[in-house]
Amino acid sequence: MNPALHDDSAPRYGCLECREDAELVVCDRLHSEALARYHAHLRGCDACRRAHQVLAALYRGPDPASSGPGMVARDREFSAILRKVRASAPVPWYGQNLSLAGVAALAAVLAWMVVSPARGPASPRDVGDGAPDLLASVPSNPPARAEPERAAGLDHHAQADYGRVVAGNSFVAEGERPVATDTFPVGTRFEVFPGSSMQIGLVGKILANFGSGSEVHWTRADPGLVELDLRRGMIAVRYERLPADPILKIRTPSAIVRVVGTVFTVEVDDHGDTAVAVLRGEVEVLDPNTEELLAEVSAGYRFDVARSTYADVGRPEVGLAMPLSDGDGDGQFTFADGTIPPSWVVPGLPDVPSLRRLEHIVVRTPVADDRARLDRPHAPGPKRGRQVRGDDGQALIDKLVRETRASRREQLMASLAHCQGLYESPETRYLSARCLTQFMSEHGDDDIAEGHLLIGILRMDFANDYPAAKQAFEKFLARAPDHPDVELARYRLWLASTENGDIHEAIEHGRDYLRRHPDGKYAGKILQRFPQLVSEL
Amino acid sequence: MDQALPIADLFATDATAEAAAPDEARAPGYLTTEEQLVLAGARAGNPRALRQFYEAHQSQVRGHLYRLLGPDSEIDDIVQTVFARAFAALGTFKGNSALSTWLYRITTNTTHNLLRQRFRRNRVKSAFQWWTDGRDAHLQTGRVDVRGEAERLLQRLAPDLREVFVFYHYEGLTLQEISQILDKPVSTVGDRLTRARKRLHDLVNGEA
Repeated sequence: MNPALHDDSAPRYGCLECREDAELVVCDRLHSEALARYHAHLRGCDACRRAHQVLAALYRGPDPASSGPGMVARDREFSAILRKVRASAPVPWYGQNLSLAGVAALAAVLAWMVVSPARGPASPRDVGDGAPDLLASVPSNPPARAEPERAAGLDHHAQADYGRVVAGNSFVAEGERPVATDTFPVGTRFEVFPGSSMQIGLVGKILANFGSGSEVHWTRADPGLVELDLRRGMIAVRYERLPADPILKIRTPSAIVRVVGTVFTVEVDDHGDTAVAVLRGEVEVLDPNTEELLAEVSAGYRFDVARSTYADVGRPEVGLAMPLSDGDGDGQFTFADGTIPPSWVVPGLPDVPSLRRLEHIVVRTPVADDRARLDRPHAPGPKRGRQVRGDDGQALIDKLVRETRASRREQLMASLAHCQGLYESPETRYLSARCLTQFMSEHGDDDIAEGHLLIGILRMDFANDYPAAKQAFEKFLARAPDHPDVELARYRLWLASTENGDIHEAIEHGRDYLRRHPDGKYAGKILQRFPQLVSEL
Repeated sequence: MDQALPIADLFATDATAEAAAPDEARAPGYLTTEEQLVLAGARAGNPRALRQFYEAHQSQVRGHLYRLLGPDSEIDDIVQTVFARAFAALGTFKGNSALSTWLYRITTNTTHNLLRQRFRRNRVKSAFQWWTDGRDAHLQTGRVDVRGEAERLLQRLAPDLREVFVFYHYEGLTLQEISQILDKPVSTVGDRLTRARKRLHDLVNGEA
């Protein structure tokens, strides 16, 4: 029995009082005695109880919405936001008045022609002579805004359908047919030799490093999606995706990894189990059958699909991704020097650059039933394909060393030999860009101009820095127009334009190459991507 | 690898300059070092910085819209509009408030007209319902979902009052912060909050 309800001396507590106190109760501001009377009243009054529930719900607020859109939905939303920003760009006054000014100028020209009978019938040539003064003040086109130097999207098959071997070697085959050159089409399969690795570039935007013993198929490339199929081994990928660029999917036997722009590794062990580690950005891991989201993996984490567990990114993942660190400088094209980029999240690693080295990453302690690691030898399957090397640069650096040695420069050989040593191994080739740049800035002259060519090759291969690469090739061509390697420089100039999506420029460079080198070593590669240039031969 | 997008030159002239607070005294310390770096990159049109800005604040904007409008199919569109305006107005942000406060202000400016339109429409609709169903029928059935009922009652709050109520009770902001977002004196904000509570009390008790 509630004494508050049956004590005659207690003040009356009815619906009116209850409704007045309701707000104090839901805000937790009513003293305990009144609170007891309040709840006692609620027990006997349905209407007040109902009003209390509604008011409490009102002050509590709505239940939190779902976890929000997934990464791909957010990516679409972000792209839509950028489109809206561009669409709402104010048109400059000369742009707004362009049409009007153009019509006015045309009318003025016509009027001038009509009221000048002494000149006789005006010929097109006359108009041409007189027009510039009138039209000079009117821009023929509104000034184009500065577009990103790297074009977004895959608009041309010459860019979309091909990849390139950047360094390393493996068996490469397109279906049953061996791939004959370092340029390969969609449908190509890679089997990396045990103890080796291979770096490849895809569609001019994606740089991947295939680890020892990996087996990878490139299954799809279209404007919306690039897809790789990882059967075995471990691969590291860097993808600096612009909003219009395709999404990258990596299929494994037990997962799909969906990427919108990041640095990450995917590993498939001998049991077909998958682990995904992210160094920068975020990736989604999906069920391979239903494509339902299994996990979102953020930077610094390694997700084991079979166990559904997270761990820290470890040394093997960072080590495999290190060849992708060239140019990963938060918007600035820095040279890789073996330092782990500051944008990569590696737990336990300080921000001090000198300590951001591979050897400072704590080695993960393997658990008892840990899955097979990559360095465990696997039974090699039958190799069907052809061994392919990206060897343009190797020949070049050998030549550079020979010429330097032969021409009075023994004192330079030490530093150049160091660069050569870095270049020779696919695991350290990414470090040679910095070394060579330093060498050329200290000792470069016309006699060793091929250093510029080599630097250009490294910039486009490992940093996707096509503008810097083109600049280097043009510098080489200007400094050494009669050099035996001008053919390679012209080919690389064409390749950089193609992979950067500058298609008109690429056609011009391709035409120039075919005109100068109709029987050239790279003519087939150019015609493979631009068959319309056959008429140039 | 990121390249500057050509949006940096749009910042200074966008119509959402109203979203900034030009006459407030500069009070440094609202932004963390990381926020300052992201802001600098975003102002230069760096896509990665813009993406970081978006990722850092999209859940705040989306959550606020959800609490203000309830489940609504237009929320995603409004989120896009809010960020498009924010990106375009980054050049006018002077650091006189926290970024979250500044975004709340843009969100409020973006949604205010929508709230007013819906409020007028709902008033006609609810009057028609009162005429057909009886004045308190919806409160007396006892089977109506409490959460849904609370959302419906919140929609019947005038936009000015609803904004203050949501900021104070759902977002946990102080009267001073709300005053900064709405660009109204604190006394006005306090008055609106009192009126909002009174109005909700009346609505719950069927006195409205």
